[in-house]
Amino acid sequence: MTVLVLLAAALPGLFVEGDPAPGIRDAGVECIQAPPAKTAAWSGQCVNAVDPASLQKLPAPGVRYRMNEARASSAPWVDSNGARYLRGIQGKALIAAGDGRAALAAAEAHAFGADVLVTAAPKDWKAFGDMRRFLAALPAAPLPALANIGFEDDGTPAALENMNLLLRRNLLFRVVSTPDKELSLNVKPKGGDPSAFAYEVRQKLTDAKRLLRLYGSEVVVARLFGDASHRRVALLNYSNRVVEGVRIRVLGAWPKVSVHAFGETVEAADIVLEGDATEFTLPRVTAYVVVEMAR
Amino acid sequence: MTLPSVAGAALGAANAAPKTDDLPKYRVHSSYAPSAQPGMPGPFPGRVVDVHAAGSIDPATDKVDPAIVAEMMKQGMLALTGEKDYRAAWRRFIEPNDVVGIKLNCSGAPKICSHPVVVAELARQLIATGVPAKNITCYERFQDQVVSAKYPQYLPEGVNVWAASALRDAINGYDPRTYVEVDFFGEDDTRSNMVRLVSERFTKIINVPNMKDHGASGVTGCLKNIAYGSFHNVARSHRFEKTNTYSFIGTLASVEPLRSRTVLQVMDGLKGVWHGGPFLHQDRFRFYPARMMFGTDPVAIDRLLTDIIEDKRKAEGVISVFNRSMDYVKKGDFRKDPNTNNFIREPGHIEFAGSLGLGVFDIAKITRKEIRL
Repeated sequence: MTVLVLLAAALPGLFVEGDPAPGIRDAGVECIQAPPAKTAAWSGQCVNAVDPASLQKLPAPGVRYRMNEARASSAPWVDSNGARYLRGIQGKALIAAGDGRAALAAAEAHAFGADVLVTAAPKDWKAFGDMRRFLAALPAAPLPALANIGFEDDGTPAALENMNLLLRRNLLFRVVSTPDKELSLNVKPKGGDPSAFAYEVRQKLTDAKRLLRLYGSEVVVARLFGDASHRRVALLNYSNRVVEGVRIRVLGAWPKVSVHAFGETVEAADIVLEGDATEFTLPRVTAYVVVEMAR
Repeated sequence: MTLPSVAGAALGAANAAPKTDDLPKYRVHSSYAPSAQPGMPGPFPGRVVDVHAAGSIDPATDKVDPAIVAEMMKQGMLALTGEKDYRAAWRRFIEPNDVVGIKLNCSGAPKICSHPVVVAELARQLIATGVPAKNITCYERFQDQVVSAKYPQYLPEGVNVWAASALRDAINGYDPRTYVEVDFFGEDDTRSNMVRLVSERFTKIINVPNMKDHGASGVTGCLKNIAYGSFHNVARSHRFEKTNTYSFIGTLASVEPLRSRTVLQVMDGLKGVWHGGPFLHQDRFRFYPARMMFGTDPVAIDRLLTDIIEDKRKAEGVISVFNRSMDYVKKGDFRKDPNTNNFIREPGHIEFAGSLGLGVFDIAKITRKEIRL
């Protein structure tokens, strides 16, 4: 197990390409970002000029259920930027958050410590603002990200898809340039079916060594942070509705559990120390939930 | 009555049911100890009471006669127990201070399900036995299916109807501490948790399955209804052509406290499905056995159910439930063509459950008492 990055990112900013519109205060941002040609139009509003050409464009996070598509798997398809964030982005990223996705885009960037701007329809500004306020109120103490798999990223699209599936399966990895002996397992990219790759990695690692497991949802992706006396689980719900119940297993004894859930008060239930791990249930998982655990 | 033996029919050596060595590795996680006499197989292993009443259901209208159903139930319980009063018969299994769960079968609702008239009469007889209505709960996994069957319109006042999940993937209705863990095909969620009321509230359970064909398990009767209907995340067992229903059904049914608390099997065979189950995709796949079977042994009842479904399929001139040829699997539209299979069927799950001690599979050791009203 080793460290990666800290869960303490700059809050996501709002990038507004269009003309001024009412409701910008709901976004909860002191200063918006806008293309240079548009800044003058925002009288009375703090606005910074940002050339969108300087930003790395990323897709909106979310889920495609693919109900009407013939497919090999019945699992919903999670569109996550997590693998891109773990590979690393140059400078700032710009996410064109689709309908209702602005809050999730902000949460995802926070969970991966990414520096992003989000564009969103005015009707989503309030949700974006609510998420920003939630992120700002989270525990400030940064904790290192935990992983026990090293992934030797070669920069190829296949490697990105490998990482995407590892992340989707909550197999906690970090990108390494050479094998790291401190990690339980080091793997190289592999072409072909990325889902099969993830399963192969899982079998090599074994479920017993997984630092974290989730039961009950195929649309929630977790990150784990921690030090000698704490664990922090960041849970991203990529669907457009609350997930009713997720069981979480974290390796180690961390019986003190407190929950910060976006938009709701949620308490951990059925906390047990099970073998060498701590398990608890979150009865509801909103778009973003951060769980603090201690000895 | 001599029953036709179907075990082994159309079973070639090359494509036989799984060998024990090939079975998935199951890890049962339960803190519940079995009772002194577990409900399955209960006090009457191998005993089945089969009550026929032609007037119980009108095939032209699907209308069920509540008075005939009530008499079928009383006669069935008396014959099963040897008691002279039906309330005394019920008290052999249920005491007034019990909290009773009635396991519905709603997977094909509303077209085919534990009939509301049957369930309501069962609840009435429990109440007559002394169980308060508020201590009776009809349960199933999925809320939309239960709602579609409209049980509250039939049930005595005070009887509860409960579903474990309002949304298909919701797990709050399940016990996080009682589960079976198994990795079938690399799925990330390897747990199937028990319905919370089963482990935390009910003291007794009565199972009310239907008489149905099943595309994966061959038939679905007592065992599959109590097993797959009392745990979540079970459909993963039949994702590919070769399924794991053979061993998963019996394994789940054996988990405590489900096994100990399930004290009665009341099979609602007024209406059945001979192809396409558990759903009724086409009206032509329904049939009307107009019978109910009573017992404590789910294996013995399901063994007889296999014959009922197989005989009906033979009469319809379609492939056997024991047909394991890949030539028929996903060849056409299973929902429309009774000469196709969705999966390699595993009716052997009943014999496997018998090997786990859940009941008697050997037809020579099953005693069936037939009653005709």
